[in-house]
Formats: sequence, C-alpha cells, structure tokens
Amino acid sequence: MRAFLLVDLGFGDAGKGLLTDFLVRRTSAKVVVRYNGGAQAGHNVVTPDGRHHTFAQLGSGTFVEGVRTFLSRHVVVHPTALLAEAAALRAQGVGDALDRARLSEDALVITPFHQAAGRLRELARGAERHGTCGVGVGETVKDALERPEEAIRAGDLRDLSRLRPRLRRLRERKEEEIETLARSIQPGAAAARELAVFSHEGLLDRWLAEAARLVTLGLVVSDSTLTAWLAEAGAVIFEGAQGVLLDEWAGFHPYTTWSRCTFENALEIVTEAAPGAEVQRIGVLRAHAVRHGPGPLPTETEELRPAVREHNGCGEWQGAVRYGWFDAVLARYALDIVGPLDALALTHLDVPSRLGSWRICAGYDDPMELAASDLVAERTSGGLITRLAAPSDRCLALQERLTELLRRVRPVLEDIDPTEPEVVRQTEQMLGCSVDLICRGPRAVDVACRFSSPARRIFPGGVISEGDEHQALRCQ
Amino acid sequence: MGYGNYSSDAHEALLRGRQVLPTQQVFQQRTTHPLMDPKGVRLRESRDSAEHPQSLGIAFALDVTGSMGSIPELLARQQLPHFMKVLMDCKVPDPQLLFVAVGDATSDHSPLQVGQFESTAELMDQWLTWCHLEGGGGGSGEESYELALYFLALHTEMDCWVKRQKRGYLFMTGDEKPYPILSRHVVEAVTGDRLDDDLKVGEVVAELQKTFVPFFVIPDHDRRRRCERTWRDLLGDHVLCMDDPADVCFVTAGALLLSEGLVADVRELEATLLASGMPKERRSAVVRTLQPIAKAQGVKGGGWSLWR
Repeated sequence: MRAFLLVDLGFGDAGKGLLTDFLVRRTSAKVVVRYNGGAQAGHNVVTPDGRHHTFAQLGSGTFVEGVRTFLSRHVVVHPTALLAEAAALRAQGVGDALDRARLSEDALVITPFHQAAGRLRELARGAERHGTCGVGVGETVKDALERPEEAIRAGDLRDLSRLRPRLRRLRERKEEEIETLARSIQPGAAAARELAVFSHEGLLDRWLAEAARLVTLGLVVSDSTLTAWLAEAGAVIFEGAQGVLLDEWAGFHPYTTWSRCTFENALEIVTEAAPGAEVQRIGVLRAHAVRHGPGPLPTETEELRPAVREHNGCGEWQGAVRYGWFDAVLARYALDIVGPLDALALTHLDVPSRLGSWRICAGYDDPMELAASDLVAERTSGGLITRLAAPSDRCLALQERLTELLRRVRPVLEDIDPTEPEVVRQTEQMLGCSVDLICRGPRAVDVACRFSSPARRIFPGGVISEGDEHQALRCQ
Repeated sequence: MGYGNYSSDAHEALLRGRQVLPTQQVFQQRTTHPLMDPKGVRLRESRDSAEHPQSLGIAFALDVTGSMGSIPELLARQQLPHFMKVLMDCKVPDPQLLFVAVGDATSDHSPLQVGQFESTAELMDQWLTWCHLEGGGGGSGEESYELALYFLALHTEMDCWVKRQKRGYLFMTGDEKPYPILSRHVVEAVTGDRLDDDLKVGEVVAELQKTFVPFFVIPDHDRRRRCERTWRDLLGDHVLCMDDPADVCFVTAGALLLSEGLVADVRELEATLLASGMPKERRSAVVRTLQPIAKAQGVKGGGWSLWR
C-alpha cells in the first residue's frame, strides 16, 4: 500500500485539488483522506471533459468513479455545507458523492452559532481583520480547545435529544460572548444578519434536523472504517488543506489557520490506519506567490493579475486574492518546516510565458541588519536575508515577530527568462531540490512527471523528457 | 484554499428559514406525492450504466398502515435511508433501490406509492421523504400487499433480468395478510390497468417470482401470528421474522448476501454485517432471523444443510 501525502508549501491556492485529482488518476488510488483544515477548503478540479468543481469537504478525487473520501477527526465539518456541496456536484453529473464519503465520528462540527460568532468577531476587528473565510472553523476549533467537554462532534448527531440541550447552552454562551463585543461591531446589514442567528426561533431545530441527515445517510462512522478501506486499497491520497505558511504554529501569527498544515496529522493517521504503508511526501508550490486576505506577502505585485487564471476569486469574508513574485525565502522556510520531500510539484507554469516577463526573489534586503539574529538562519555577505529560521518550538510570540519582519523587509527581485525551463531551473537552483512534477493548466492532463526526475518511479505512466518540455504534454 | 461558498449558502438558507436541499420538506406529505402515484405508470426501470454495469434491482416495500404502529416512521425515517450504504459496505455490486409504500385499497387515500429505482442513498432518501405515511388500513387483518406485488410483476423492467436473466429482489415489510383476491376494479382504480378478471394472490406471486426473488419481513415476534402462516404458504422459506424492526437493513442485506452467494458461511455473513455497521449487540438476533435462509441455501453454519 502506498500513501501519498500532499502538502501546500505556500499560503494555499497552490493546486492541491489538481494534484489530488492527478494522483488519483495516476496511482489508481481508491481513497482520499482529508487530514486537516475543514469546510473552508477550496480545491479546484477541472475534468478532462471540462467540468469544474471547487471541493470544500469532499475529496478532490471525487470526479473519478468509485473514489471515496474519508474526513478524518482532524477535519472540522460543516454538515449543511457538505450537503450543499454534494448537491453542487450532482449538478456536475456526480450523483453518488455522499455515498462514497464517510466522516469520523470524532470530527468537530461547526454549528450556525460558531459560524455567526466567528463572522461577528471578524466584523469587530474592523481594519485589523485576519481574513477569515466566514465558515466558522476557527471559532469551532477555539471553542473545542477552551472547552473540550462541550465540543460537538459528528458522533453527537446520532442522539438529537441529548444534543439539543447542549446546543441551546452553546447558543446562550456564544450570545453572551458576542454581547461583550457588541460595542466594537459596526452596525449594519452584515452584523444584523449574523445576530439574527441567535434570535431566530426554530433555527436550532431546523439545523439539527438537517445536520442529522449525515447520520441517517450513514456517513458518520468510527475510524476503523478507514483502516478497513486502506486494507484493500492499493494507494491512498492524503489531501492537505491550506498551506504550510498558514500553519497554526509555523505560520505568521496572527494570519494563520487553526490547523496543522504540515505532514504531521497525515503521518499520525497512516501510522494508525495503515502502519505498513510506503509513504511518499509530495509538496505543491506555485510558480509565483499567492494568498487570500490580509497578512504578509513581501513580493506582492499587481503585475501578475492579468496573466493568472483563478478559480477562487474574492470571498465575501476572506478578501481578495493577492499575487507576488516567486519568493524563494518563503519557499525555503516551508521546505525547512516539512522536511525532505519525495517529490515537488510546480504549478501554474503557464503563467510566465503568458505574462511575457518574470521576476523572482532569492532574498530580502535588510541593509541596516534590523532583523534580530534569532529570526534569520542565513544571510549573504552583502546582508541579504536568504533563509528564515524555522521555529523549533511552538512559540507564537516568535512567529509574530517573523510577521513583523516580513512586513519590513524589501525583496530583491531578479528578472529571468519567462520560459518554463528557465523558471524550473531557477526554482531548483534556489531551493536546492528537484522539481519533479510540472503543471501547466487546471486539468490532470496538464500535469506530468519530468523524465529527469528521480521521483519518476513513483508516478507510473507518461513522463515528459527534457527536450519535450516546450511541447505539449503527451497524452496520458 | 479559503472558500466559503457552500457554507455561506447553507448558512443563508438556514437564516431564511428554508431548507438547504429541496428534498428536505421533511415528511410533510399529506396525500400521495404525484411522482409516487402508480396510476398510468408504464414501467419503473432499473438500468445498467457506465457507473453501474452490473445493476441489481432491489425493491423495498413498506407497509405504512396503522397496524404497524410507529414502525413505518422508524424504518422510513431512520433505517432505510442508510440501506444503500449497508448494501455498498456489504459489497453487493451496483444495487438499485426502489421504494414502495403499501396501504389498503379498501380504505386508504394512498394504497400504493412507488418511487423509482435509484443508485444513490440520497435519491432513495428523497422517495422516503416524499412518501405519505398514512397510517390507515382497515380492521380486516389484510392489507393490499398483492396490489404492490402486481405492480412490481407487471410494471418493472430490470436489466439484471433482461440482460442477464438474474432476478431482482423484493423485501416487503408488513404484519398482515394479503387479500386473497386482487380485484380488477382495485387494479384499475390504482394503476389504470384494465383486467378481464380478478386475480388470485397465488397467481400474482407466481408472476412476480418470474423476475423477482420476494421476501416477506415481519418486524417483530408479536406480529408473527397475524400473518406468518399465510405468507409461508405463499413464499415458503422466504419469510423473515425479525427480533427488532431496527435490524431491517442488516436482515435484508444479510438475506441478499446469502441468496447471492456473496458469503461462504454464517461466520463470514456475521463479519460482513459487522463491518458494514451492524451493532455488536444485534449480531445474534440478526443471525437468528437469517438462520432459515442460510439453512435453505445450504450455507455452512446454517444448521442442518439440505446438501448433507
């Protein structure tokens, strides 16, 4: 059994949906496991015949017949959104997505009260917003950490008579918490709408009835289900959500997510459910920097926007998508955090030639040496910061200082040839590791393994030779 | 990353007080849903597809009359929605489920309600949701089961039979006897078919058995005496007496596994059902219910075997 662990080496949006779909098709994996994040994921897949779906909770391999999704206990589940996503997929011709999905009874459940409270908290932050997705993941995780005994998990949906009073208490508590915020919330339609969640009679019972459908449809199971699935699967894909640079401990506080975005959770699940599995760690990196919402993005530029084709535009809550030139310092930092990879995928390689010019950042200028030495791991003789210190402990104060540093530094940009071989070569040189998978578009057929790649043996099927790299990819 | 659309839509919908999915007008049907009315229906079809190349038609007919008490509610609302999951977990290849609700033609508004063959739990659930749980029925000790049998015999077409000469399955849950004679007037009133003569229930069963393997499932022991004898005369071994109506998914899935030869012995049957979610404490009751079928199939561990 082979387990492919997929991690995003940026702030998300690198192409985990595409890579998951590619890996499922290439390795004939029958199972996709979600191991972090939650209902806020937005993983885009375009099928060979042009159908598109943004996967949030269902695994990005779902377009492929018979491929199942397991939402592990590390995933924060939004029951009604899951039903809505299945309905959206049905409109794309996939009618049995829910039949092929199961979720761990231990997964945390987002209630409408968490969702509304999270949104109100963001409204109260005003200009200091963190860039929430408005889904309620953060609020739900925070609650579970502070009051583990009150946390609602998927298994609790089995017994509504016991859950109802707990949900009522939760509603009261959240309402009290919100009242203390009330003064800082700008009155307006958005706030009024979220406040109505608490006063809306009947909403609680209606939500319960809908959420419990996950149980009546047989989706809520114990973790032993995954063990049974993996026992007969030849390969499994662990689809990561978000990105290493948003990791709750290694990301740039406070612009982070409430989840681990490294291989950690995935490895834990593999050890439990398929201890003998051969693990392949795969990192996904975009050919240029990208992030949604506020937070540091040192190489930010508007020049890329016309050349990029984006599926995830401006979220109602999250804020607009932002672009930057390839940032080797951040990529090195992410690689240092996740450790050695078995394969690295570089996506959006169609952008440089479309733009007609390309720039990359190998280091940050810090002439006055303002950066404290504990934040910097490597500096050139000219004072250029080329490597940030990867945190060894869980220390948010340190991460907050990194955030500050990233706001102050000036990236040093270098012009390079806007061709794919040159972009790949420069990337390899700057990161000191090989680029194994090349992605030139949104579909699995736009992805190929390079002939020169040592990782070739783990992706059976078509490869692309050095000489071929300018040509269209071979049909797989 | 960072995508809030499905959850925003769901959140909005909840606030506006409407349900997320149109299928969730949870059980408010007061008459026969127009899509479930058998009148004028020519055929309900179970077809192979690229996704389901080996389709197997399985009809589940539920007695929804008053004598069944709260059982129709329990089955239609809580148990049957995950029947499809149980079948898939049991590795029954490509099941297609048809839901049928049975009432009483002499006294009910909805004597027969028929869904469509479906391959997904969600679509199957939609028919369960639309079904009108009338809770009627007469005091005669009979319900119009034979009308449902008639409909299935004459108004279904299944690729498993047409292409592979493999019969589909019917599981009918109830606690009373069928009417001994199916009146042609009832048939015309409910389905629109014009018959020359009334039909005997035995004739209807014989016709049905050409394309279906029928089972009658009695929900609990208290209800056996009302009907078991009559059904055994009609169906022989294929009468299952459950210990608890909540076992229905596992009992029917088990009967299917045994009949299809998908398990080698009772031990494997047990293991398969446990792996598909049967609670441990229900194991012995479910196996006890299935023992006669195992025995009739000559399966090891099924007690005295016909082949020995």
